[in-house]
Amino acid sequence: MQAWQTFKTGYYRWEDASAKLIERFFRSPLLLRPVSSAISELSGAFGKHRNWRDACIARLGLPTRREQEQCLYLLDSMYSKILDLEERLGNGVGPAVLAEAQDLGPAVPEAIASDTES
Amino acid sequence: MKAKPSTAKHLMNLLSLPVRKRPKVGASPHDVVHQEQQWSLLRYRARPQGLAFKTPILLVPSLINRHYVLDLMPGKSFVEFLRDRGHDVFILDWGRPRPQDKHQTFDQLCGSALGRAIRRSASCAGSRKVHLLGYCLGATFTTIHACVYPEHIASMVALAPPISFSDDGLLATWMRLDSLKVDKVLSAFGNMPWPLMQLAFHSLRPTLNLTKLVGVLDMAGDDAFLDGFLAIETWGNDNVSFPGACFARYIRDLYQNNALVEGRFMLDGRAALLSNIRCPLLSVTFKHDTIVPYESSAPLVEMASSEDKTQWDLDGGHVGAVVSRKASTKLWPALAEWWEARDSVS
Repeated sequence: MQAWQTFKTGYYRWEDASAKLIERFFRSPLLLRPVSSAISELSGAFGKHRNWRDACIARLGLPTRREQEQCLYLLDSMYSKILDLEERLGNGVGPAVLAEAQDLGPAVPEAIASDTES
Repeated sequence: MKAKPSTAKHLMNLLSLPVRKRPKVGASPHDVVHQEQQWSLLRYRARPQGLAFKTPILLVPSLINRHYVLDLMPGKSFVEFLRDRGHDVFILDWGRPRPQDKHQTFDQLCGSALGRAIRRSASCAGSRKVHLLGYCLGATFTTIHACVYPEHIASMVALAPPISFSDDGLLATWMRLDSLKVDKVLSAFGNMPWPLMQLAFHSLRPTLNLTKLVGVLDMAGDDAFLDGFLAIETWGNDNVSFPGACFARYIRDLYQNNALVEGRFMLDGRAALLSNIRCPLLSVTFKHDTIVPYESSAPLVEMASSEDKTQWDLDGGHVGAVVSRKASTKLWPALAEWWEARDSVS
């Protein structure tokens, strides 16, 4: 039991010192830069593969995964807009809601709209 | 005084650990009162004696972890503790982002979704306002929301809130590096994959797993400890990805430009100024928090205009201080008392 207590005390002392040391090492740009570059490049390669796969599917005239995701997102956004309107009606805003609906912004967010058009 | 477990029990518990029955997490009885896209709003059922306080409490956990950290397991649940004191408790379950959620923007989550959760909680409880509690990234969201939409917020508690991102910690340093191309990662994966975020968090304390092992070897004879340990491990390994468009803005505006503290952050086209916060405010930081250091949270209380504002800097780490046995005897009662003292104000 005494041996275990001694080990524990020693371990926690070692852990505290080494964790700080390792953290300083990990924080160093000498390590972070290559790790970040590797993650970015691997992601880039994976992204290119996805684009190529999407292009193949599009050539067959089928909707790509990206198009389906956009479509589902737009449906979700429309559902949220309906909930916004319902909430305003529930708050007794009444006829003014139609006028205010124009202030709710476009049903299709601009970034997505331009993405879809292209 | 608790009897010391025998060595035989200690050994038996250790050997049976891989097949030990996992405790049920997030088990407090609740109803889903609203569901929209991937997120939902849960309302916990009141204690049999009924409610004792009129203003409901809405808990907003971090987007990148499951909500049940605040309702870990029976006997070790912040939600259960509040409910037993007579509070009406709601929690925002951010859910798991689906592939299409990569388009969700910061404004949609922090503005629309959080706003709806606040209004729904208030209307379900028959109140005009809610007491808001944000935890970690959830506290960043509640803070930004409170800057722009303060109408329905009676008071705000921020647990370990990342507000300033100018520190030289590992996460901030990494996210500011120009060699990390967030757009490439998001273009490839859509949402920010949780394994990548997990990698970053693990590197904050690389010896953590070894320390956990020593802790388990030491305490294996204590069944309550083991159940708690397994529950927190279940939660810790149940990670979720970050909606892509929201993550991109989070990194660009907050980590890289520190826009919130500098007063340049916009939500729904309106400036999110910390000085707009006027409700009673409590910010809680933890001395051994390696994820959100004190310096990152301090500007919230410094810059808010609230007359009633308090900063607590407590012992403990980012998660342990909020869910541990000690939290149930120190932090939770202190938080409940803080709200109860302000319940009649709203």
